[in-house]
Amino acid sequence: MRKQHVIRKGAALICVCALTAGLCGCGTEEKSEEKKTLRVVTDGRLYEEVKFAGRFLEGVDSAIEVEIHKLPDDKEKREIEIQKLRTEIMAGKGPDVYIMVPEPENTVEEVMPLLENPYQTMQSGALASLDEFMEKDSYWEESTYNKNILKAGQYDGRQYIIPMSVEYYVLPRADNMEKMTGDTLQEWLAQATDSEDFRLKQAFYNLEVQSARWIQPAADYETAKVKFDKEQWKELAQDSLRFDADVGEEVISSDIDSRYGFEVSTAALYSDKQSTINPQIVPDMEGRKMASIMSYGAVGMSSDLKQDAYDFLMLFLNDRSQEYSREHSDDSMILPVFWGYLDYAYAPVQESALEAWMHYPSDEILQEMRGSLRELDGAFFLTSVEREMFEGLVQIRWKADYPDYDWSEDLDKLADNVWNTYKMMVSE
Amino acid sequence: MRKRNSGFLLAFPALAGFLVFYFVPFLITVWYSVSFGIGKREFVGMANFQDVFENEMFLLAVKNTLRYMIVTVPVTLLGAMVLSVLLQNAVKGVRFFQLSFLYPMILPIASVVLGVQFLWGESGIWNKVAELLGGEAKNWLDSPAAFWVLCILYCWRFTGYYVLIYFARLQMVPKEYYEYATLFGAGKVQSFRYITWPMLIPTFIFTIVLSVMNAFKCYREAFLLGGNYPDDSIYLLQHFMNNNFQNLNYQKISAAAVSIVVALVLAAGVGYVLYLIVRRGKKYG
Repeated sequence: MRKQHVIRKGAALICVCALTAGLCGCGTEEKSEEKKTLRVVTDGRLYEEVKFAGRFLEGVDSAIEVEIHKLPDDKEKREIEIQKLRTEIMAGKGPDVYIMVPEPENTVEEVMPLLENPYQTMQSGALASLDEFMEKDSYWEESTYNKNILKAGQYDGRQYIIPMSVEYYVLPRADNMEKMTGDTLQEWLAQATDSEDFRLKQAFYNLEVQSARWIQPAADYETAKVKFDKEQWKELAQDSLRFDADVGEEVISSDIDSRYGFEVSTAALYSDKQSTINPQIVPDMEGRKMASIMSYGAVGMSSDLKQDAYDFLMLFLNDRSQEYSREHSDDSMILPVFWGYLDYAYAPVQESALEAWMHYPSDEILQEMRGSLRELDGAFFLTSVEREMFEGLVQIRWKADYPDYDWSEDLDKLADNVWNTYKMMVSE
Repeated sequence: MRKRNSGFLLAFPALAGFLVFYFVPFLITVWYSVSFGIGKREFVGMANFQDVFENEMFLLAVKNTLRYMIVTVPVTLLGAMVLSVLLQNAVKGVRFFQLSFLYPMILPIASVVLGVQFLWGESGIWNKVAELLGGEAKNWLDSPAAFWVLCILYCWRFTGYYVLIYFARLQMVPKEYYEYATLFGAGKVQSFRYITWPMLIPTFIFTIVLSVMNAFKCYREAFLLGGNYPDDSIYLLQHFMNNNFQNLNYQKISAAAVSIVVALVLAAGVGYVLYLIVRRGKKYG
């Protein structure tokens, strides 16, 4: 009887021990005080740049070790890795630095992002506020960083994300071409419709490829309001489809090499063009000149090395590495140098980086690019809805070539779906 | 006494597993639900619960999930019961039917959804028939009708499974009971009411629990039909959880999860109290 009692008590004790062990296992790991490990997660496209930054930081601070976690490119492996990372983040063991690359809305294959919707992630408490570090950092007073772009990374008045590169559409204009006079995209399209200049018509043919950018930002996550005006958007989509139908044959039969068209900022300005191109940034339906964020950085809330993480991010923007290089020009060990930009593929966010990023173009072209960057009213993050919008309208555009196809019903459906998705996203 | 102790020892591995893999994570979830941030969390009291209960998507998800359960659980269980009784009385083909009831469970869900799209998709058979009859074609899966499609899918998948459970229980009912009942002039309905149904009650309660659990797990079907943001009518609790998980909003998921658990515990508590009242009424009545 007594023996049985002891067995029961013992079993109960083991249960309690198992419970305690489980609870203790969820605590945070103790870190070695000698060497700090900064964990950075990034996408394959920026891996090399991040690796260089890691090498620089390790070179200047021997107490830091930078561990870079590259998200796999393979779809299946990536999904597994991201699920694992999300669970780690949830357990408070996530990375210190996030350097992420959102997919453009028009990529062929959708890639799973770690931060599905940066706007919602900013509300979640997973990212650290950077204000404390930014206030102490003189860079923000002296730099040429476009503050309108910076605003996209704010939530509730606090900075959580720092945009690192952007993309926007421009209309390169030859000297003998008429200038677009309207403020809104509808006015631009109307001007192209009425214009005698065939080059303008060529440019506006297939305007649907920009449809995801026609109203941006399309939702306000702080007030949980949808800004996407589906009626206005549908109207422009119809005008655009009608325009394509009117000029389509003429444009297609024209010489493909001499066709005039909209270009993304990168293609139009970053190349080695030596002639004047007079790029005008394409406004949206409300006259705003917006750019999509193509790479950004953030610091994890669970990080114990927030200051180091912030410093790591800022390496891509400030001139710390340049200064170091100047001061240590005689050193045998050369550390990487950054020229104010992270992303070689998309436009930088500060004017001072343009010259190096554009490979030292002529003054005239540099001024144009600076001007266009200055003109930007803001930036936005691409989410899955923009892709839905783009793919939906492109499909309708294809079908529009069939005789007797009435696009209005499909357009209604697409606009409704897009609006509903935005509504769900801001309400979640 | 010995029996009781060995029972406890036998249950120990499961109990320890439950504590480590369910109870501990649940306690952590409770902590997450009353705090904000990741890593160093800040206690925020009931703020997360307030956020969740003011969140219209959470309320929509709760409404849809409840509606879904109210429709599918009774329909599936009653359908399964009728089929199992019919099967019990069948003379031929019992083995064939038993096997065929399992097929919907074996089929991969992706191919099932493909079949659903073939039926109710924009260019599906349903629309073709509707057009032939002069009706209008529409994308049923992207309209409030998607809810009913999801319900049909659930009933089709799980009815057979419950048929097998009921049928197994019915096989254990001694045939003599029915023979006696027939001798005393009882009809089929009376036999069911006084023999079959009382025998099935414990199994029925078990299948209710199972069915509710399965209804909570129908996210894959809804996701494959409509993605992360489907039509409003099939936006379920799992969508809310999954979307917030993707956006790393753990306090919201935790507050929602704790609320659901509390609601389920309360419902189970109310059920138990009712059961006690009924039992006491029978004892003294």
